[in-house]
Amino acid sequence: MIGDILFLASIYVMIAAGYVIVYSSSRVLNFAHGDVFMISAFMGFSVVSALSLPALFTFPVAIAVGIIAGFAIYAILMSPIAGQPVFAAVLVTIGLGIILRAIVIVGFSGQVIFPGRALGIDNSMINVVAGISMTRYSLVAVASSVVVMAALLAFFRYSKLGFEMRAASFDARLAAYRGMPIHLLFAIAWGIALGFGAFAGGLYGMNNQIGVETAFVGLKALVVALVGGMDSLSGAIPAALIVATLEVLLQRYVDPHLSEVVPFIVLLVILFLRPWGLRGTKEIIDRV
Amino acid sequence: MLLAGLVAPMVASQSILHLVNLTMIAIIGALALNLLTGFAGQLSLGHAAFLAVGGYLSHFFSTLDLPFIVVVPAVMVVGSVIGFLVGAPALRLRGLYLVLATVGFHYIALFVIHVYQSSGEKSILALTGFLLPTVDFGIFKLDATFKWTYCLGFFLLLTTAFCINLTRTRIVRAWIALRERDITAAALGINVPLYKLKAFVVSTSLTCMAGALLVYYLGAVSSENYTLDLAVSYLAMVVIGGAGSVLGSYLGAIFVAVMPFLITGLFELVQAGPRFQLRYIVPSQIVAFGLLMIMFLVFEPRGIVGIWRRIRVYFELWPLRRSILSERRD
Repeated sequence: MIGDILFLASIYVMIAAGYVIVYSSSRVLNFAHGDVFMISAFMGFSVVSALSLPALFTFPVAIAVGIIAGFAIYAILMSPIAGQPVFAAVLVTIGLGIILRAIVIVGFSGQVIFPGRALGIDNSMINVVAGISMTRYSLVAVASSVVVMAALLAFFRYSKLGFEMRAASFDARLAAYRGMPIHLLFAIAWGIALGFGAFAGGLYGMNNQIGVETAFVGLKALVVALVGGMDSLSGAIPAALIVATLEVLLQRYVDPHLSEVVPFIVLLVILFLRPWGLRGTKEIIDRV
Repeated sequence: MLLAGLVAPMVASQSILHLVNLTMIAIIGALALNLLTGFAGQLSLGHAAFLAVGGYLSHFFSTLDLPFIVVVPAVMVVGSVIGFLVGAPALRLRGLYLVLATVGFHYIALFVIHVYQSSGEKSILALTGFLLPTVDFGIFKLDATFKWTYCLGFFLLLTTAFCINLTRTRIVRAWIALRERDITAAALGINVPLYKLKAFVVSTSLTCMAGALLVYYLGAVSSENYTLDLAVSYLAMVVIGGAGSVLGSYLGAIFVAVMPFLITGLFELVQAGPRFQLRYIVPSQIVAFGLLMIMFLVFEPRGIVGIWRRIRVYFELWPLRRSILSERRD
């Protein structure tokens, strides 16, 4: 059970990091994030099975789909409406989300696939520590989420590019005056965000299944991002653990239907009590 | 024309009347959402959930043997209370927290409805939904489609009059101010959270009314109809028709109602086989919704109304040069 919690939390962390990166760079809640998460998992699986490549190639393909999607969304949809109110951008992502879902329904006939089983990977249970056993791929997911988060935090703190991206998101106009290519920086932010989301999608598919409903996982991860704080990467880690624990516990002991809803109850509670999230900055949502 | 409108429901065919009735309900819903999203600039994905709340509340009240005339106001009151509870935490914040709160509310409401449906004595029967009684005004019963057309037309007129009158008050002017720039609105002495909350409560109350009318008209209520995609399609109505315009809600709702027929017609035009149609019609409708919504947002944020106004202005100023047109923005 702890294995389940850790797996779900690590998937949530990787998706939520994408929401946070996009939000802190362009103040947009990307409602198509969960759909990109799902569609890149689908693409990864179908490319690998069509070319009969080794199963591990799913991940690079999925990540490539995610990064390309990120660049494309920013370049084609987000930059033309840069001057308009934010809610227009959010509406665009909502529209994009339903398009992507419809594409999946047509392209994959709306069926649920099990990439792990179909590609014949070894996903047996292994004992990690005494009492905690988890499947191989969920172990991979946990390990890679730790690496991903460490890399992202280090990237934004220490690298020059990360520093510039933070500057551009802090004040885009000032950054542009200083000669930073802000459109490129924002596009990179979208690429990174959706790339990691796609990686999480690949991992989720290997361990569980992919269907149109999988996009819902992405929506629940939005709650994780909010609980952690929409502008805080590190906040996503405890938030993901909290939400995943509640979900798995309720699924085991109370009611599976309730466990699907509990992230949204957490969402309303956090909006009521601490809307800036566990580690977000309070100022950005100042009450008017 | 008024006379034609009054007589037409008597002679028109059942299927057309059914479409007209559903469109009228959609227009009421779109008007409600347009007040919130178009005028006050607050994004909500909870529209499907509030339609569901309206539907299930009217089922609940009708089991108490209350008549239609009492149920609809009661649903509106309870709906606005729920709207207050959902909106109050999110709307005191700047930014798009309402859309998060309403997504959350959507799933929670559907869960509660699921529990409501699957508990109780007749749980097996009720798994797919509930039936509602025929509306009975005492003197006559709403038991035919054309009678419903009159009834819904009355409600639509009432809602439209309400919305048009509302746009002439201080309230809607305050909403427009806070949509454009919340800080400036606050500086002008508008209590921003209060006015946002007013917008949301009015919108939810009207939405619940639309939900009640819908289930009474269909005679049944089922939780399967209230998906997040429904909420998106209402947003599409507002965006496509024209945000911040009463006429826009009409055009958007009519457009969204007619579009499935256009797509079916298009499929028949290219002589697609029935299997092809079965597989692609629904997804291509969804894609068309999403695509149109995005295209309108990127190219014509004022929606069909914006196009209409530009055409009108173009002909009013016809012999003059275009540069004058670009200066004249309503």
